[in-house]
Amino acid sequence: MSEFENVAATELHTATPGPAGEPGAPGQPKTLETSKARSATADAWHDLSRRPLFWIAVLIGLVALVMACFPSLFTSSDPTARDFCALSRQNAGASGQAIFGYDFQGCDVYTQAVYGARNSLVIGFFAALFAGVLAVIAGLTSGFFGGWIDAVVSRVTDIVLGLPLILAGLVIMKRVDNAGGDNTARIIAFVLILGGLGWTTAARVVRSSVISAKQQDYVQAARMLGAGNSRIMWRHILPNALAPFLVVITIALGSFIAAEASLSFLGVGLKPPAQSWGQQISQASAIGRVRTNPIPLIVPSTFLALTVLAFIILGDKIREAFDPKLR
Amino acid sequence: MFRYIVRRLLQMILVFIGTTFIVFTLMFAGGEGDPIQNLAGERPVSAIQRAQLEQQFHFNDPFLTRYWHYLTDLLNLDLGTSLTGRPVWDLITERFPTTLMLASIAILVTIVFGITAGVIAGIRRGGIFDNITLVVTLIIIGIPTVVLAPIGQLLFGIKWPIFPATANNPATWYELLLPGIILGMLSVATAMRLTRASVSENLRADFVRTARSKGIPRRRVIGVHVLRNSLIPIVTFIGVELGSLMGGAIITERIFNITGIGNLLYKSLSLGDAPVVVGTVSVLVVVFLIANLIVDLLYAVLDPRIRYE
Repeated sequence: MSEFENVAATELHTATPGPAGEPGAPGQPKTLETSKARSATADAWHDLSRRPLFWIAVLIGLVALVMACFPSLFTSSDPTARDFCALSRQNAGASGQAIFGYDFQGCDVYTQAVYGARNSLVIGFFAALFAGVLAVIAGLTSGFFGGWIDAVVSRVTDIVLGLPLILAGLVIMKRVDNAGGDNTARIIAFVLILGGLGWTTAARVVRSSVISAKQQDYVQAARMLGAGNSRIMWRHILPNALAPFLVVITIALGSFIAAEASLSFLGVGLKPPAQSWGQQISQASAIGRVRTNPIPLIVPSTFLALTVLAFIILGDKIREAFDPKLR
Repeated sequence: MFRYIVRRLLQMILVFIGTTFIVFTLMFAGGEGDPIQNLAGERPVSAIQRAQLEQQFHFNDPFLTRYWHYLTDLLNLDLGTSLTGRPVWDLITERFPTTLMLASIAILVTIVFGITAGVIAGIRRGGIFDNITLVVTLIIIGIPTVVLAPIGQLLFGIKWPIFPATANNPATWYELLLPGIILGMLSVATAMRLTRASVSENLRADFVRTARSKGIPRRRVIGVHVLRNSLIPIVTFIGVELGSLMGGAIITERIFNITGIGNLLYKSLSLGDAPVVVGTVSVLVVVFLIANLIVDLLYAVLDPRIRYE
């Protein structure tokens, strides 16, 4: 009932001229149906598109994405070149070649930060994807079947929640190091660890949406029409969990990027020649180096903070748009 | 209530066994080279010594038996000795007070600033203060500690030296103030948003309307009726937040050169001192679990509406 009122209110509010808003007498139930279907997402979109912070976040996210795919668009230097770092340029100031100058080892600060985007985003995206798959499997099965499956999955969730992400990450990444893995192995390990430990919140969100959707009349109706478990789960229940799930996963993506940077900062993550913001911050943040030249610390910090911020704002704004309580 | 506590304790034992098992598996499941040779360093190890050490450290036992030994040692607070020959338990207890000081500053900052700002924003929802704090907290949540700590040190320790940039051993409260505030920042933002949401929700609740219509002064309605109910989710949050506080403490302690648990973990990781790493991580995980248990029990005490049956 309240949902319908809400829809009707926004319908009045937006007052878009069109067939959906027309009070045509003959096809009234049908038009009502289409206007409602349109409103659920269109309404949220309408709300989102008027928020400047949302557009800023989208823009930053897109820039980071392009930077990760085509770093050469942003800089003409190549960090794999033999003469990329030269001690003769140690802490040299900004020039036409390097707009933020050079760091302690004479490397171009800006180019390094640009090339750091790829690893961060690759790790963030694939870890979020992995976490998302695990969360949907865990949340859907435990919420839908309940009983002992729910009990087992919930205890596993408790156990994983008992392991702080950075602590477990430190231990596992150290093992990868000891086993002599290269940077590709480290990236894969990052995806597995962050995804494997970071799915719990999303799983709980999916579980609770599934439990509330399961008792709805339309699900009972679908069951009576003879729909099987898998059809009910995928076609009727999962779409309900989609919006809150996407919000949690978007925010998780931001926190995975931050976790990668933290672990690389602590020296167990990506190693040179791979570029990583965390590792650049780690190298530049030694107290003696900060005193002489803080720029190599500020540049990768800004890149990292803006990227993480973009995803967190994105998730937050989408949640606000979809959550009627916050309007 | 009693049944709830018993059930919660039983669940906690299960979680404890599960998490320590994962930690143990990660630490000991192969790939470390020859542990006995590592222990002896460069010196050759004779067959008799090897057999003796294998016996002493249970190397030839099956995996689960070794896990059992690890678990009983952990419960007896016997964490073995570091590669430098000092008992790991001593190393941890030596550094624990510093980390505790750092964490208390962080939690105090969270409670004082987060809850105050949250209550004000929740009462005047939609106002200027509310909108500004919402944007500011969002930005703070989005900036990871790994950025916040070095930039904070650069700004307030080096550029404008209000606080000391690094700490001595043992650290004083004053030296820990800046790192403590930085560590608490992240939780401040989340605590503020949680308080705001629950205050504005409780303000619309029936019991608040009743209290108002009885003529109870506004100050008392907010201070007693609204606040008490709004603080319940905050208590839970602080328990859960302890986990990310630990991760943050490792970074902050490294940046500000604080000789706490985080720094111990970082140093022993880079030196490859496995016994210290295993011991520290195990102790931290146990602390985290116990904190969460206490929070869960507090939750039941604070909220009489909840009946755990």
